[in-house]
Amino acid sequence: MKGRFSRLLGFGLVGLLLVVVLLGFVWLPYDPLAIDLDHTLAAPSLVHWFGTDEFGRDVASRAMLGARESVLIAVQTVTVAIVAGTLLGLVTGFLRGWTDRILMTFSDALLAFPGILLALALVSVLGSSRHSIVIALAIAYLPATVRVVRAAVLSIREREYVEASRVAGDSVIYTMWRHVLPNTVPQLLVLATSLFGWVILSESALSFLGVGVPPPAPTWGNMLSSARPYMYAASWLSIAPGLCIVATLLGINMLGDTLRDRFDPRGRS
Amino acid sequence: MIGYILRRLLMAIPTLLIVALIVFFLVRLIPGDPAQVMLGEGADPAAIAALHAELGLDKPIPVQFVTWLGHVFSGDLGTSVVTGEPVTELLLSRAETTAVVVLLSVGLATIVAIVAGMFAAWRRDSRADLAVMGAASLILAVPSFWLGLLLLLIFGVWLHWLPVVGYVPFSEDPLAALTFLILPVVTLTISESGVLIRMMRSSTIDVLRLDYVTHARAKGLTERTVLARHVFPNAFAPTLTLVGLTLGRLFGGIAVIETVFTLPGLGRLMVTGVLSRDYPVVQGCLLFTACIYVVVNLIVDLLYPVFDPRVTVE
Repeated sequence: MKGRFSRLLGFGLVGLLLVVVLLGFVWLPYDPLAIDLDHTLAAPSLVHWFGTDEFGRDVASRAMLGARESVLIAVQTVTVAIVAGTLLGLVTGFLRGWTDRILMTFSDALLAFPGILLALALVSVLGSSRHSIVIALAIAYLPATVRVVRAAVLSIREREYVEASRVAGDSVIYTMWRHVLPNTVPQLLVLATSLFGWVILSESALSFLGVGVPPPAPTWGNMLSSARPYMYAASWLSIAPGLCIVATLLGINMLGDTLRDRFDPRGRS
Repeated sequence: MIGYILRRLLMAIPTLLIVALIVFFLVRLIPGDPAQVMLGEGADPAAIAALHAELGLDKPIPVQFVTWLGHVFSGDLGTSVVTGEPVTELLLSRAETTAVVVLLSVGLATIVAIVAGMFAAWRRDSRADLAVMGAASLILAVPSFWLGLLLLLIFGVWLHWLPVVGYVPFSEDPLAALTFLILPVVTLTISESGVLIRMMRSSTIDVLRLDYVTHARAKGLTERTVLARHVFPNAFAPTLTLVGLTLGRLFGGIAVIETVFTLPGLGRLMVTGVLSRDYPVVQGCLLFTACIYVVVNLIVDLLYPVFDPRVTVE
């Protein structure tokens, strides 16, 4: 009963997010960047569902465009982190020895930095742009990815079919590609879902701190950041973007729980 | 036991060295002359030359690293390019606020997690369990900075119970400081309790299944004694590790919370450092927070055998 509810909620909210993102490509209620100084800080109404911001821009349209930004950044970051993390995880887990020791010490050292500070520092070095956010977040989440893949590989490499492949004289690369990698896919899928949520959260935090996607492009984080000075005059500006983040994360987390139950029966409750 | 402690201490050294290496090279990654970047466009050439000499930029990179590391060991992290203050002093003056907020909130979140998590596990699949787990799932989906904004909106803007902007150091006026600290602490306590509750619940469920718990119950011990004396120590060990990770992460990771509540803490220092391209400050913050993380985790590793003696015999 509980499992069914969270499964429905997960698929429902993630589906809604995708619909909003796709809809945004063909239709937005208003131009999200159009400044209308006659209607600044308008309260939510039938004309502007979530009100307008300090430049008279429609908050609902901006939130829809923000969804696209967040999802694009999250998809790119997760792809980079998973591909790089899988390669490194396969190498460290399969070769072990000094390669493993050196790479894992590096990954431990990276883990020692609070993720958000590391990303912040990297963005400041790389310059504020979409690409540097993707790279910075991918690096910040790389150690976690390497760890998960390595742990999976360490257990898979001891199985008989891997041993058999080795005995049959297959090359290391072939064995990894053919026998080890496919068996890490369930863990990778669960990990990718969690990562997606973390990246959405971190990206909005970076934008909130003022080092995310540069304005005027809207993201949920920078909408919240620019709403901060208008808490007295227009409190609704702080509500809508936050609700978008909560709905997205709730959906992703529920989907992640569903996938985990599906692929890892031991953790089933 | 002594072997275990020594092993853990030795393992921390390479990690700390690589942390230093990463922090050192981060600034070297910036395209162009580091001194020029730090002082900004149109800086006085004499000042650039002086900074060159100070940072030893004309020497080979390994020499630069060793010199820099030597300075770090003697507690010299350079001076802020913007304010001219020594970075070490800046860090220490900002660490107080962050430490108070982080320690209070993680402490409270741990207590909440132990009570709620164990209760939910004990009354598994009851309405109370569903409510606790539902709340924990919701908490996990709410960004801490948005929760902070909402609480600020409710208690500061609408009810006028608490101040919205400003800060008084704890050492100057503890009572006034408290009014500024309530909301950040409550926000973080709620935000961090989500993961901890889930962890505490699942490890309690695992422990409740074990034979020795059945045995303790069969002996006629009260449920309270069984839970407190037999279930708690074993179920708490995994949560303790998570508490350690959380503490280490939050020492710099509460930058967003400090921004929402305009608290002058470490995270805020780092953010202003990044925004004003004050790289000595950025390097100092990174190094300081990473060292805190390593040390906190070391302490947790050393505390771990108290709850689970098996780990010392690897």
